[in-house]
Amino acid sequence: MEGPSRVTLGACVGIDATALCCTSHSQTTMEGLHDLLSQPLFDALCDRFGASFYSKYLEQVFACSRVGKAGAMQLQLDAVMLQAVLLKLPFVGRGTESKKLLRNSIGSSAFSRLLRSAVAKTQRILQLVGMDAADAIKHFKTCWEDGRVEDMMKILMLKGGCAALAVLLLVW
Amino acid sequence: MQCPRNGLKVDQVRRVALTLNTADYCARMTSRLADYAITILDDELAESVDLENEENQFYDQVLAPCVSLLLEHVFARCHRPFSKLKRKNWMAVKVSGRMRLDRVVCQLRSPTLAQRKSAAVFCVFCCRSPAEHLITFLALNSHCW
Repeated sequence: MEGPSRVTLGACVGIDATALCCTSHSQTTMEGLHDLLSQPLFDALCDRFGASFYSKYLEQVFACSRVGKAGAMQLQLDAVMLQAVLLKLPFVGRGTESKKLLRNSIGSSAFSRLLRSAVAKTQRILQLVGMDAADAIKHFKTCWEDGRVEDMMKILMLKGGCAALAVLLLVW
Repeated sequence: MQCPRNGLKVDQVRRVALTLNTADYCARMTSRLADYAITILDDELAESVDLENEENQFYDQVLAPCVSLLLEHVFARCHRPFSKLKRKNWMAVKVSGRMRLDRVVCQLRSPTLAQRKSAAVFCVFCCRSPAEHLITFLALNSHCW
């Protein structure tokens, strides 16, 4: 049987090919780094990576031209799927003990807690992206507590600039 | 040292890792050295032993920038998929993965499917279907991750 492409796997589990590619790139790089660094340093690197990954992810989303409802839903799903891969990062290269360590750490380690809160925040923001302009404005403060007006503008730009901004002006 | 757009080269990564490991060792040893110096010096001199500044210098001037550099390197390696994400036409996405999965679940739950097959055949179908999906998924997994 011929080896299926990433897109085929993406279609099976509902993850986008781009997200898959991203996880495989980061995982390979981290595996290489694990061999070179001491465990505490590698853990520190994983913490930093986990803390900044989702903000980078959102940065890329906001750089897109427009995102539809289904697109936002796919991005949300990707964010959750990525979390599953990122959770394994601190344990790459630890061989057979990695599964046990991963099982023990889920829900307890600082890294997984940090990742979970980042995913939850990303999901809430992507929910806003999937809403209609008026609903997004209405729910902005509840979904994005520390969000600023500029962030609101970014979300509205993803819905198609002028019309969405007109809604913002009307609501405010 | 700045991270290039495509990430660091293999030997550069190795050099940064080497620096990082060495600085980490030195930082840890600095405090031990201070403790040791205190034990062998006279009380008057021991009071003036303070290597905290030196230890902090290892953290602030070597460890932190090196970790940041490696972090930039990891993100640089993700540059291509990230830019694909940016370029993708998300307005053209009509059905998300979740919707696709929901449809499969919906189909499995539909009574017509159960009606068309006899109870025994439907039972076998229900048991085989997820198992087949799982086997295919695991087979694909090895190629794609």
